[in-house]
Amino acid sequence: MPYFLRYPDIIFKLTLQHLYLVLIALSIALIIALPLAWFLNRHKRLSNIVMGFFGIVYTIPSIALMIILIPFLGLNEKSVIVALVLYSQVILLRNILTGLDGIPKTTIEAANGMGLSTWQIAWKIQLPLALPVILAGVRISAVVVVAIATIGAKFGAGGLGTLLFDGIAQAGRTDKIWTGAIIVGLVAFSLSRLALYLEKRFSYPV
Amino acid sequence: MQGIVFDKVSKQYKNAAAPAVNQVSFTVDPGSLVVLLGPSGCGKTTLLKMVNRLFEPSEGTIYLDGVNIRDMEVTALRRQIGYVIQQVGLFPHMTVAENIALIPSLLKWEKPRIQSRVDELLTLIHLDPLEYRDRYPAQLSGGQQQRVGLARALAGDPNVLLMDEPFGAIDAITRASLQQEVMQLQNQLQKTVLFVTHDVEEALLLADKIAILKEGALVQYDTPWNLLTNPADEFVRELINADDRIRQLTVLKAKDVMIKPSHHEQVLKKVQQRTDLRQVLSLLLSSPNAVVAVTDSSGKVVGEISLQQLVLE
Ligand SMILES: Nc1ncnc2c1ncn2[C@@H]1O[C@H](COP(=O)(O)OP(=O)(O)OP(=O)(O)O)[C@@H](O)[C@H]1O
Ligand SMILES: [Mg+2]
Repeated sequence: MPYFLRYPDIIFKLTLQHLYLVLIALSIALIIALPLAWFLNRHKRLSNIVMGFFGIVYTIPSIALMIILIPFLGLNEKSVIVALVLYSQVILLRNILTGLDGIPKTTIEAANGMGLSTWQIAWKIQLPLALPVILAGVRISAVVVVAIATIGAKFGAGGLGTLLFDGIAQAGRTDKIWTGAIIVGLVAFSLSRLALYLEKRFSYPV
Repeated sequence: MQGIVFDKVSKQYKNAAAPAVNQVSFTVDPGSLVVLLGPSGCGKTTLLKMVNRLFEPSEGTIYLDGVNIRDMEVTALRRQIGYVIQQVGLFPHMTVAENIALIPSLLKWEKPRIQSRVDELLTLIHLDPLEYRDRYPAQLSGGQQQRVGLARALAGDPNVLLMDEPFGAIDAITRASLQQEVMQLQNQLQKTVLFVTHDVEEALLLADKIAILKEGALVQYDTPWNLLTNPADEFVRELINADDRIRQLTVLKAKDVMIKPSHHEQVLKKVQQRTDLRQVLSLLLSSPNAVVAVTDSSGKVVGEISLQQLVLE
């Protein structure tokens, strides 16, 4: 009997763990990226510096980044989540900035001239106008984060990576590797379909 | 003091050699339409944007209905001023109705009142509410978009309208019909309007008074009639092509030249206050006594014109 039919409960638990890591990381990443990008959009010079910084972070191999974080955060899921958040920043920031840049100046001027406050413009005009591009960023980072989160198993965060690393450690257990790989793929695929659906849902005729 | 008062208003941009607006003073009477006219770069937009405080003057003061606009909260000030720009700036993620409803909802109007306001305005600008309410801006023609832009500016029922080359990007035929509509609307609503254009015909057609700007300074501020008959200098004379009499007659209106009525109105042919003088002349030439009566929108006779009024002294 194939592995995933023998231990559905284990697989279910690992998948949930994995989803938890991914969704927590993505939520935190968005909560940081949205206001940060909004701020950087108004300060173009600072924007280049910050994007440069995250660009460098992005080139650090994921295992190395997590190891760097362990002395500060401990050998646990915290390090993993922080690493995932850092990775997704580049993609998210770039997309949110692109989305905000794509809004014509005159649209913002009209909103200003009508008497919308800065907050109302951000919430009622800029966010919905940039939303399709933002969601595209979420879709791409979701796939990246699902993949990198597998490494979390090495750092005590559990998740589907457990199957992969067990499979490597135990001779002849390629079935575990296959199961892990396929489910990781399915999770990534479903999340990106969900984001794609939302992208369509929140797009508007241009 | 009602209306908009500019008191020695100047605007110096950083790093600019000369001020964009230089010591400009004039008054826009309540309910009148004033056109800011002048060549590109003369400071029209800058002057306009100081009224809703998108720019702040470097010197001088602007009063709205007697209140220094600097003493007003900026979003509150802007919500009582309708703002229309050439690029329209409709919000593409909102339907026509949502665009128009935005300011009323920020002003916390009740739902039913907002809905009926949206339909009322769409009807006013000649777009069928049933057909257009739920469309997105991208699903409208340029002229229709600008109509909606105008409706959106009127939505909160502001007393003041600022319009910056609203028809500058629209084809000639649509522009002409939009100009007619602005005149009708203005007859009906009597807003205090500041209207920027560098199209002289448009200025002469729409304006109660025209402010002519040159390199940031106000050169002349007067009615179309007085500008044409009494240009302050060569610059104004050339700008408005003051020497072409026939052209003047097509843009000047009955109310510009009418005198107090003295004839028995029954026997006279009647024209509206905003009928252009070319039509008036045509009527005069075909009336036996060479006098026409001018009526207001309710049909009451308010003046009369004979050939004499069309002749320059
Ligand atoms: N934000 C700005 N910063 C610096 N200079 C500006 C700015 N906006 C306008 N200017 C300058 O101020 C002067 C007046 O510009 P303004 O836009 O008011 O002219 P305008 O009469 O509206 O011209 P147009 O008919 O081309 O729209 C110009 O010399 C312009 O270059
Ligand atoms: Mg301009």
